Amino acid sequence: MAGQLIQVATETVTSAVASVTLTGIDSDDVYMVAVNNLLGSIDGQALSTRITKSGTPDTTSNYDNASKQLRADTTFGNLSGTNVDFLSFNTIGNADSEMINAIIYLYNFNSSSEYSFVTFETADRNYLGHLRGNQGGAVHTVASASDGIHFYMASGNITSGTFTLYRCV
Amino acid sequence: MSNLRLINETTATSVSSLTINNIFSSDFDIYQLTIGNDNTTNNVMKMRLVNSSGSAISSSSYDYANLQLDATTSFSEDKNQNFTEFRGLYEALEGNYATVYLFNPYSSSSYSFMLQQSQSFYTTGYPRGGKGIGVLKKTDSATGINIFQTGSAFSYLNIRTYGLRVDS
Repeated sequence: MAGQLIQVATETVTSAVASVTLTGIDSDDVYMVAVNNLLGSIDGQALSTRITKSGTPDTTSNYDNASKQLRADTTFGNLSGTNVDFLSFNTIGNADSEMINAIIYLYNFNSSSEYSFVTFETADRNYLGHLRGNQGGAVHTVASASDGIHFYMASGNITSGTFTLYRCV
Repeated sequence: MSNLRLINETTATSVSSLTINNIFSSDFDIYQLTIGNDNTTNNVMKMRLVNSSGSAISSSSYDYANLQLDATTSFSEDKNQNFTEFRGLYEALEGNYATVYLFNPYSSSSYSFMLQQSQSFYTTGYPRGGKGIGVLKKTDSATGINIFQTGSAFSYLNIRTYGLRVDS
């Protein structure tokens, strides 16, 4: 039956951790990640992401990304980078209402001969309480299989949040 | 079983406002809404969350930002802070379709966040898409939504609400 989301992995953070890793990508399907109410321990730090190879975050400088930064308080911006070693989203605050929520799609991760592609949409509030979000995409320019995604803060810990990986079938 | 669970499907015709209540609960934190509509004229679709008594939350507590993607003119920004509803879900005479994610609407401890993508087609051959975000800066527990417009009616409006289940 088409149009289903099958849960592959989930992790809920209730006390500070340095990172969260979701793995279990083992098919050529598209995968989706939902991030709910992620908060960091330090004000003004960006949520950062890497893909995993055999469960280990790939730290090589092979990430290209571009996104539109939507902002309710001022003119929208552009975020981009090439040959960097991670994918970065907006900076967020560390107060209760300054979290980030996201829907992320993962493509070609299981392929050993294609690059891994990512599209994402996020909504968050920064340390001033301003609404922001990212709408964009990224490519990991290495033709090898990836099996998951790794989340961490640019500085400090993740203090709360629910991270769930689904397979789209 | 799919973790994307259909909670409700509602279809209405010739209405300017539609409230769908009792669709959010403690069973889910994230919801996906698909919205399709035809309209009697080009207008702006507006959305509010609804509390358990069926009243739309209309306080000036909504922030939103939408990138308006026009095929025939420059892209533009549609944004507001401390507004009375979410906007950015455009509608048009020849149809409009949108997918909306709502985070935490039922929570009484977290703000409600919104993601949306929409595509409309105006009668003059004028496609307009939208990619947007929003937040309701209140911790009221919401149990439904109110979709409405001012000055005209939806000739057709279909809304499907799904819950995104997390199994621990």
